Amino acid sequence: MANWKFTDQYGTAYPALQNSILSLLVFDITGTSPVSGTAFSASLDLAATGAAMSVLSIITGLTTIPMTGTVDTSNNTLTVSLTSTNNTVLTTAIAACIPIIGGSICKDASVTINNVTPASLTSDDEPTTDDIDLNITIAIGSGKGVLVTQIPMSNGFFTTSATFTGFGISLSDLDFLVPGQSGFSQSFPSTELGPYYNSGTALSLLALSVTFYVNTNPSLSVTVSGVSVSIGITNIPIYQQALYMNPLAVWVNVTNITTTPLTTWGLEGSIVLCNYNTPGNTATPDFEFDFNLGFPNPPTVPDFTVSGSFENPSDKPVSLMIQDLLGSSTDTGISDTITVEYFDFYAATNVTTGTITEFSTDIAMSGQFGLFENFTLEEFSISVSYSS
Amino acid sequence: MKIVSWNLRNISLNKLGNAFSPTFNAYGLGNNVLDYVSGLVMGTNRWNAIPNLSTNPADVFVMIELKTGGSQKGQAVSGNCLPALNAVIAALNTLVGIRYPGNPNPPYQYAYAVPLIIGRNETVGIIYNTVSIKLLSATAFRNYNNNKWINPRSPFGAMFQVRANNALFQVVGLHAPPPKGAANLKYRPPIDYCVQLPTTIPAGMANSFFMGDFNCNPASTYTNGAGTVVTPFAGLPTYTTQIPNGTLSSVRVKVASANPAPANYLSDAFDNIIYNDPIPVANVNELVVDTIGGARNMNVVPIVNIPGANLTGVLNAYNKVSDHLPVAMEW
Repeated sequence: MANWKFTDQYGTAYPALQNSILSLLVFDITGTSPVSGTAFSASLDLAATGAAMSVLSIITGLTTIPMTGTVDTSNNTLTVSLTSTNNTVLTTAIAACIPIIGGSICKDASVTINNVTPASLTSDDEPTTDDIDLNITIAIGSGKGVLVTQIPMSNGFFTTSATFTGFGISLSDLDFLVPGQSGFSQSFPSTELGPYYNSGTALSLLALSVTFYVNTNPSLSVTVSGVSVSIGITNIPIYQQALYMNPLAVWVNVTNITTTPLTTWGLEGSIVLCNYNTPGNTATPDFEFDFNLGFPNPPTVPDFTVSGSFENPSDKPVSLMIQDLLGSSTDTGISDTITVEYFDFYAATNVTTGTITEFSTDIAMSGQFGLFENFTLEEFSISVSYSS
Repeated sequence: MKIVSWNLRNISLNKLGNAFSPTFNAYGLGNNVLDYVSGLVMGTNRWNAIPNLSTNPADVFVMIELKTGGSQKGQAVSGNCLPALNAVIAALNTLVGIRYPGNPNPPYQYAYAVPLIIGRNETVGIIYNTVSIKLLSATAFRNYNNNKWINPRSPFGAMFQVRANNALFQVVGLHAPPPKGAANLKYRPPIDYCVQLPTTIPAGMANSFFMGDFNCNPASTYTNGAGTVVTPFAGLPTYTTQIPNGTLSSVRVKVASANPAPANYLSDAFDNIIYNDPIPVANVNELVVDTIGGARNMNVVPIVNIPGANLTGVLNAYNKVSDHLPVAMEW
């Protein structure tokens, strides 16, 4: 067996590779290369790689991880995609040492390596993709989710996370995140949400992350620092196939999981405006308006609040906004040069009296129009505020 | 007492979990943004070679550019702001447990002052050690002469009482507007902002510490229409700092190879802690904590300095944390 690194074979043709994890990872090979055609097969040698892989080695109890995959050099780009093949062993190891998502919750574990390094990049550049991840498949209700984390390479915090699409759940499906009598269901602000939530509300799991602290000295310990969950409802139609609330989400963060769970939560969401050519396509909208809700906690916090912000990083014009809402043939005469830089609003209502106590809005636009036709107008803003 | 102030550029719950490139992770300086930030605040050995930076955990940690929903100054924060603060104090308290294993009464336990909106989608996070100090109050500050909020971002601060001797002190976090305009007037926006600081209540109190992103130097100037040279802190004559004027603290996005270090990775002198507490100078260590120049590979023996070999990688990684270096003060 000989030691081999990707930079041994590809470092000259792909100078940026020296700034990737592939410059550190050592593989055990027979012969001169683990690559045959585009097929790769070799074991990642955690011991030979050194300190960067020591945490993974201690967590898994392994010194080598067999991997297969592809190595492609077409289009003057090195593309590497590798996956571990001893997942049964990895799963057993992860299930034994990682709390909350270990044990019977953990269904599969794997290590993946992905790298994309164009030959045009220099030794001062980093690859466009350079990932070495630990992937943990866990059971959630009747489904599964794959939490991904970059391999921790020192004692410290690491966060494993996943986003989900179309993943329906009930709150009890997440009780494993807060073990003990309370469970996650108790951490969810059901009461505070009032009429906006009831036991019949259909919920989707939008995102899940678990932050751990790993310590290998004097012996391995992995503890949970916190859990964050985003639960919401997606693609709520507001106006035809143009305007959607996507999503309306509750973020719940729980710390002190195994002792006295401390929960904080926040409400946020987005209203998206789809392009008139792709109605209902909420994945790539033309405009996105983010909002946050704050619920009252009388008497210290007597107000229900809602605030919104809109930013337009691509400087799409107001005329496009009108077309997306009312149809491509709509022409209000507003010039294509008028863009909305930002649009913010804030409102607060006293839940005891039912009256609006605060309101403000700020709109900033740019573009030449009317009297300012011949001036370079950087920004034109309107602010309105009301306070009782 | 140790204070760390850090502009963490739109720090949010999502950003805390962001990992670095694996080559940077391999240096052992942090597996993700939360790990990196908490390691510095807690005085871990990752940074024990930086001169004048102790390995003591901070008693106060001020987070500038903490993200929130809303823009109504003085109102309650919303969105993921409180979950983000919760995640940070959970991490710090985890590290306390690691540092003082088996100790039922460790000398550190962290909580946060409930923040308020200070500007558009922005607030200041103030985290403190409940064992050494007691939080008495926290609020956003107006100009008390005209009762108006200070634009674009009002300072937010807290009053603390030292448990050992009942002494009171104030910590105020702020984020001045950026420099803008022609060279001779470039610093007018942040200077005019700082000129308003004497109108805040803490400015006239004893033992006050103003910190954060001033977007200017104590010696920055502009000349107004009347021909008067305006400086940021002329209205705070009792305030001082031990950070030498011109100490760079804002971080470049790309290495400027033509400049000598640290100007090849730092661009401006914007971050500071100014104070009027009459602490003997000899007892104070105050510095801009250069975690880029001071980055080391902790995963090799012996530990080696990095930036000369891979400044680009270190700079790229740091930009995932912030565009400002932290400032620390201990006495």
